[in-house]
Amino acid sequence: MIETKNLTKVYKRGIESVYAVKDVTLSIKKGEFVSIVGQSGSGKTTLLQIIGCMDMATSGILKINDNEIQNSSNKTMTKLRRETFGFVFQQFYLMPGLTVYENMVMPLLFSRNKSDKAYVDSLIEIVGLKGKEYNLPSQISGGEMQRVAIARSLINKPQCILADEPTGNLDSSNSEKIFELFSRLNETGLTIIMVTHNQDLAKRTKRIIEIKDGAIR
Amino acid sequence: MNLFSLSYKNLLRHKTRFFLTLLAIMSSTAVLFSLLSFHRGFDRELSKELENTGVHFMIVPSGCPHEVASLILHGAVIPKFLSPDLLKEVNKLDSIALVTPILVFQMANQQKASVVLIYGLEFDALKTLKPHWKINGSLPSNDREIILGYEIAQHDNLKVGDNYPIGQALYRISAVLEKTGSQDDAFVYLSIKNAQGLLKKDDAFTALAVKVKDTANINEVIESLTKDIPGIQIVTISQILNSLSSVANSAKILSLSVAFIAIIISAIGLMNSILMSAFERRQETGMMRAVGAGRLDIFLIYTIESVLQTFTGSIMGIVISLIGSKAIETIVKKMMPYSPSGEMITFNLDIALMCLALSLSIGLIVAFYPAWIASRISPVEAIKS
Repeated sequence: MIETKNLTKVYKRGIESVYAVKDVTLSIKKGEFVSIVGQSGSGKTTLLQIIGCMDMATSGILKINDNEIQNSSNKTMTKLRRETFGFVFQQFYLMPGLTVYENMVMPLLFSRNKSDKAYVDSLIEIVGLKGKEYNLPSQISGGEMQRVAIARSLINKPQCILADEPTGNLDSSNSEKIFELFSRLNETGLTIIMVTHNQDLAKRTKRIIEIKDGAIR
Repeated sequence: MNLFSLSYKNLLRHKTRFFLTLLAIMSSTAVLFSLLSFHRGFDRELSKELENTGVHFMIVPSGCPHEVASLILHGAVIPKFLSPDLLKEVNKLDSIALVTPILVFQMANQQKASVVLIYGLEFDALKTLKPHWKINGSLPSNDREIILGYEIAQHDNLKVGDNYPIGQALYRISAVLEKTGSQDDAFVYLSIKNAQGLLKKDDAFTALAVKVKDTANINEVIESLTKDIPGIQIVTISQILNSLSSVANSAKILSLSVAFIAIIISAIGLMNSILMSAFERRQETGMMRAVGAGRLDIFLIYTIESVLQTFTGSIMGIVISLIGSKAIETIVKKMMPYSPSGEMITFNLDIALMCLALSLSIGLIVAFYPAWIASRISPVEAIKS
């Protein structure tokens, strides 16, 4: 599903060139559950951003579903983010003025897809937020907020979930619940790429990619 | 949920900021709507008031036409008199339907230790001179009867049948004028003979009000009178209207300038508010971009927020200016060199629509830069902690 060849991202810091991602070549097949681990600043988040079409690589090749993506237009990148990927962030980024339900269905505004009530209800069921649909984010716990974010990432029925430190702001109990949720989603055939610091969780995924100084170790 | 409801909920997140921005837009729209309505009402009421005089032109001593307007509308005191023969000469003309003298002056009322404004006229011509008047009582039937202006009657608590002292004599009040809202309310009306007696100037008058038989001949009549009689000035109602309108125009321009400055200030405030919001919500905007929002979507969200504020603020401004029309009218009237009586600020659909259209245009224009800035936010922003 995702292939990269010599993917490189260079930032200019004055006259110095900093390699955030260096010659990364990898392949992730449909239905895999991959964790990307590495120390802070190792480049794992940058790699995730490039794979998720949020950022452009400086050089190298990125293929998504066998289509080369590098140098694609902004419109194409937006379409891929909207239709192919679902994003889960460490900080949740729920909109405080919207209810749980509204936060979940918000991406439908941009995909112009109609809200499928049965599907939304099933998502609410899957993430365990039944009865809290009309609560505001301020009225639910951190773990529940992350579950809303996961439901939001699933609303457009993506092929792959990209999760950046999804348990980084959660206690161990909630981290476990979120991981179990990802495992269950993966069992349904969904590809999941998760950036994490948590070695214990990473070990439970099907594959670990370790990044050091921007390169795969 | 749609982009409108999303934008609306975004606005409600900062209620104080939203309220203050609305207040600024509301105030500037209220000022603009009030002034435009006032100016429309001013022209309408001025025209109506002059038409209501029922005369076609005034003959006055040579001088400023504004004095004539004041004389007709407010009974201003003109310190000049016309020749007593003039009335006879004008009466001789076949083309004249009515000519009636007016004598306006002020005199001290020693009994009440005040100044009384006297308006001397022929009561037979009252219906022509003041057709819009409504009086309580009956027209004076003899020289010892008078009509009292509304304000004087209210101030002194007088009613029909009471006596009112002028000079050394007492006059019976045969009628009290109903409130007109103009200077008419402050006058005492008595027969011109009596007025001339009080002034101790027999046959004196300050103006002649003239009505012609055929309005098509007005210019010919005026030309003939001006040619034959020296030392007079003839001013038609339309000339007075034009003269007063031109005097009022500078005040109108000044007041509209104030309104436009208010609009510019509120537009800058609105732009600042949206720009601030765009910067504050960088991560949130980045998140929306990450979950599939295109640049146009983000641009629309911020533009809708701006337009929602200008639309709501404008509607509120129009409603507020209609509610407070009396107070606003009083303030604006003080800015004008002359104001006719009557209600000036009324609901005008075209003015309301124009104010709304202007506000919405401003909303679109000021939103452009902040919305463009927001639409350029990269989705990477969302992941940056």
